[in-house]
Amino acid sequence: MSLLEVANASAFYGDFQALFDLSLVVDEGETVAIIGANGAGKSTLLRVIAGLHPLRAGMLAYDGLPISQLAAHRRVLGGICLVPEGRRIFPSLSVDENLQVGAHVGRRGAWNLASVKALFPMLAKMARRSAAVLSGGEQQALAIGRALMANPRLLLLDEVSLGLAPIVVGQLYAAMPQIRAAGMTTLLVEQNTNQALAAADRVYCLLEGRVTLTGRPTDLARSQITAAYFGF
Amino acid sequence: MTAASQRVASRFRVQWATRTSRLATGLGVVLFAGLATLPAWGEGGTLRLLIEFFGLLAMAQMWNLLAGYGGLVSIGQQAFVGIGAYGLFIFTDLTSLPVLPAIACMAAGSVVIAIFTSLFAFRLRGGYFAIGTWVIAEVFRIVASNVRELGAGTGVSIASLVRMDATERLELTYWLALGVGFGSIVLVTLIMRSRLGLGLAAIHDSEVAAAGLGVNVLQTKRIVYVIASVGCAIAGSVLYLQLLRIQPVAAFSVDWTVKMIFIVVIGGLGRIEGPIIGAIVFIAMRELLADYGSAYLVALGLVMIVIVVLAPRGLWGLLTSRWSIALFAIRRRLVER
Amino acid sequence: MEWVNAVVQGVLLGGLYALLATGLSLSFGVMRLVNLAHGDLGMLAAYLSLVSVSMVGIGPLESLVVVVPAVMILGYVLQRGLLNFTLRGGVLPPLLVTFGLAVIIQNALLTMFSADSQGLDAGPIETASLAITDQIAVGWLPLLTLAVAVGILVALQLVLSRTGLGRALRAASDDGEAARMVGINNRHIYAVAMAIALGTVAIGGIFLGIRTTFGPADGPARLIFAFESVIIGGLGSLWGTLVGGIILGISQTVGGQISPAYQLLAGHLVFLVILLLRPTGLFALPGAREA
Repeated sequence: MSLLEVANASAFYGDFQALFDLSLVVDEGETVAIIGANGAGKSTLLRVIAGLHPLRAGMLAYDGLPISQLAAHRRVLGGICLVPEGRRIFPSLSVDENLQVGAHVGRRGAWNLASVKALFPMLAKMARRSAAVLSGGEQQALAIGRALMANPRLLLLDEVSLGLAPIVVGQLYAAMPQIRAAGMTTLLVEQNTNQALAAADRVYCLLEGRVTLTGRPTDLARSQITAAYFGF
Repeated sequence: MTAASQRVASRFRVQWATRTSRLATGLGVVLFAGLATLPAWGEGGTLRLLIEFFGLLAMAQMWNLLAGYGGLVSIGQQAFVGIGAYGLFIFTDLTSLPVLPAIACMAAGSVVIAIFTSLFAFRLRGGYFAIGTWVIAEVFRIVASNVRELGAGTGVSIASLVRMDATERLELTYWLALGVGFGSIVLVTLIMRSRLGLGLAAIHDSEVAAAGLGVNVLQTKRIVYVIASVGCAIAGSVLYLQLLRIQPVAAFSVDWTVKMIFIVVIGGLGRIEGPIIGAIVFIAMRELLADYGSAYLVALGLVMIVIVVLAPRGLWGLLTSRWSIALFAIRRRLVER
Repeated sequence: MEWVNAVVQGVLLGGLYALLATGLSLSFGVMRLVNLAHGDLGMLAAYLSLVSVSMVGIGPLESLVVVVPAVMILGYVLQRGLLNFTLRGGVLPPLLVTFGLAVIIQNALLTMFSADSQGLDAGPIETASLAITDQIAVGWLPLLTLAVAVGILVALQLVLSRTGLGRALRAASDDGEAARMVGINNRHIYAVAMAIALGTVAIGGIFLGIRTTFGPADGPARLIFAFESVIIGGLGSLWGTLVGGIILGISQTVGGQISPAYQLLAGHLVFLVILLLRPTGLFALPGAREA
C-alpha cells in the first residue's frame, strides 16, 4: 500500500480547471519529483494534498485512509507537511520561534530544534533574529526546517529552488540525503529539472494539469522528458 | 487604430438597454408621473410617509454607491445628514434665500466639506475607515452643539419655513423628495454607465489590477465619497424641510446610517434595485412592529446578520437568483450592427 | 497646578482606554477583523455586572470573576459560530455583521433595562484617594484601573512572546494560510483571540461603569475611544495602544480643563491631527500595515 495515493483528481480555480483526472502514488521512503512548466498544476497538486485547495473530483488516500474531506491542520497532525512556494515564513517571529511554531502539532520524531539546526547550521547562528531579515536561501532553509519540526511522514516541497542562486540551491539539496536517511517520504515540485532528476527515485512530468510522463530518472531519456515537459 | 481593427470595430456597437430595462424605465416614468400628481388627491399622511420613503431611499442609494460599488463602508454618513439640516437652516433663516437656492448653496458647501473630511478619512482603510467616518460625524455633532448661532445643544427650528403655508410646504417637500428619490436612482445609473463607474467596478474586483490599468484608485474613491456625501446632505435637507426642528443629537445621530445600512443590505448590496426593495421592507417592518418599540431594531439586526451570512446579495439577489434580471441598464454589451 | 493635575488624571484615564483598546487591536491584528460591536460588548459586561451585583449582592469588582469568564466564553462562541464565517467574504461582511450585532445588543439592552442611566457602586474605593502633593490627589480607583491595564498588557505580552498559544496567534496574524500549514487550527485560534479581546473589554467596561454612569447607547462612544487609542498608538503595537490611550486621556482631561464642553472634542482633534500627520500612529512597528 502506498503512503499517498492520488486517483483521478480534478481541481478548479473558479471555472478554470487546473488538474484533469490526475493520478499518482508515492510509496513510503521514496523521493518523488514532479516537474513541468509554469502553470502545469504542480503547486495546485501539492496544495490539494496539503488540504489548502479543494478537490472537486477524485480521491486522495493517505496511509490507506481517504483524506479529501480532512481539514488542512488535521493533515499536519496526521503527518503531511507542506513547504509552500514562496517560503511563507512568519515575518514577525524569530528564527527560533518559526521553528518552534512548526512543532505546534507535537508529533514525536527525529526532528527537533537541535537536529534541525544541525541540518542547517546557518539557522543555529540566527536564533533570535527576526525571520523577516533573512536572505532567500536562509528563509528557504527555515521553511524546510519548520516543516521538519512537525515530524511529518510525508514532506511536500514546493519549488525550493525558486528565486535562489544555484550555489544556494545546491546547499539546500545537499541536506536532502540526511532528511531521506531519517526515513522521510518526500514529494517535491521543481522547475529546476536537473536538480529534481538528481534528487528523486521517481519522477512525474505534468503538462496543463495532466501527467505526461512517469518513471525512474535513470530509465528516461532526455528527449522523452523534453517532449513530455513541453508537449510535443 | 489600424484600418483592419477599425473595420472590426465598426461591425460592433455598445448596447446598454435590454428589453427588461426598457420596460422598467417606461414603468418608472409612468410611476413618477403618477406619484407627482399625488398631492392633488392623496392624504397628508401618505405624503409624509412617501417623503420619508424617498428621503431614505436616496440616502440608501448613496450608501450603496459608497459600499456596494465603492467598497467603502462608512458609518459616518450622518455627518452629512446633519450638514444638510443645518445648511438648510443657515441658507433659509440666516440668509433668507428661498428653498431651492438654499439647498443648492448647501450642496455647494457640502462638496467643500466632503473634500476636506476625505483628507482625514482616506488615511484609513476598511474597518478603521468606517469608525473614522463616525469620529468625523461626532466632531460635527459636538461643534454644532456648541455654536450659539446654531442653537447649541437644544438646536433650532427653521423659523422661515415654519411661517410658510403648511400645505404649500408639504407639497414642495413632497415633490423635492420625489425628485431626490428618483434622482438618486438616475444618478447612480448614470455613474455606473460612465468611466467613473467602470473604474469603480474594476476597483471592486481588484484594486491592484485596476491601478495597473491606469485607474486612479484614490481619486475615484474620493469622487464617489464626495458624491455620496453630498447626496446624503441633499436628502437630509429635504427631510428636514418636513421635520423643521434640528437637534444636533438627532441630526447627527448614527441612526440615519443604521437605516441606510439596513435598507441596502437587506435589499441587496451593489445593485441599484436593492435599496428600492430594502426601503419598502424597512418601512413595512417598522409600521408592522411599531408597537414593540426598539425590539423592531433587534429584529432588523437579526435579519441583517442572517442575510449577510446566508444570502449576501440580499432580497433582490434571492429574487433574481434564478433569472438574471436587471431593471437598470448599466451593463455594456457588444452587439453586431 | 490644575494643569499638572489634569495631565495626571489623563494618564490614569489612559489606562482605562488602553483596556478598551487592547481587544480591538488584538482582533484586528490576528484576524483583520474590526469588531464594530466591541464597545457594546463592553456595555453588555457592565450590565451583566449590574445584574450579578443585584442578584448575588457582591460588589462590581468581585463580579469581574463571574462576568469576565462569561463574556470570554461568549466571545469564543461568537467567533466560532458566526464571525469566522464572515472572514472569507472580503471587507464588508465582518463589518456588516458586527454592526448588526451592535444594533442588536444596544436595543436588547434598551428593551431589558430601559434608557435610564445606571451605575456600578464599588463603595468607598470610588472616592478614596492618595495625596501625592497637597494639590494633586490620585484616586485609588483610577490607579487600580491603570495598574490592571498595565498588568493585563504585561500578561498578554508574555503570552504572545513566551507561549505556544502566543506564537500560534502571532503566526496566524502574519499569514493565516501558512499557519494552517504548520497545523494551527485557525478557527480555534481566532476564537481564542476574540475571547481574550472581549475579556479585556469586559474588564474595561466594568471599570468604566464604576467610574461613570452608563446607558445602553454608550457602546459606540467606547468603540471610538478604543479606536482612537489604537490609531494614535500605532497598529501592531500592544504598548503603543497603552501610550495611545494615555495620549487620548491627557487630551481629553486637558481639553476638559479648558472647558467641560471641549473634553471629547479635544480628544477627537488630537486624534485627527495625528491621523493626518502620522497615519501609522506614533509607535507602529516597522512594517506594520496601515489601518
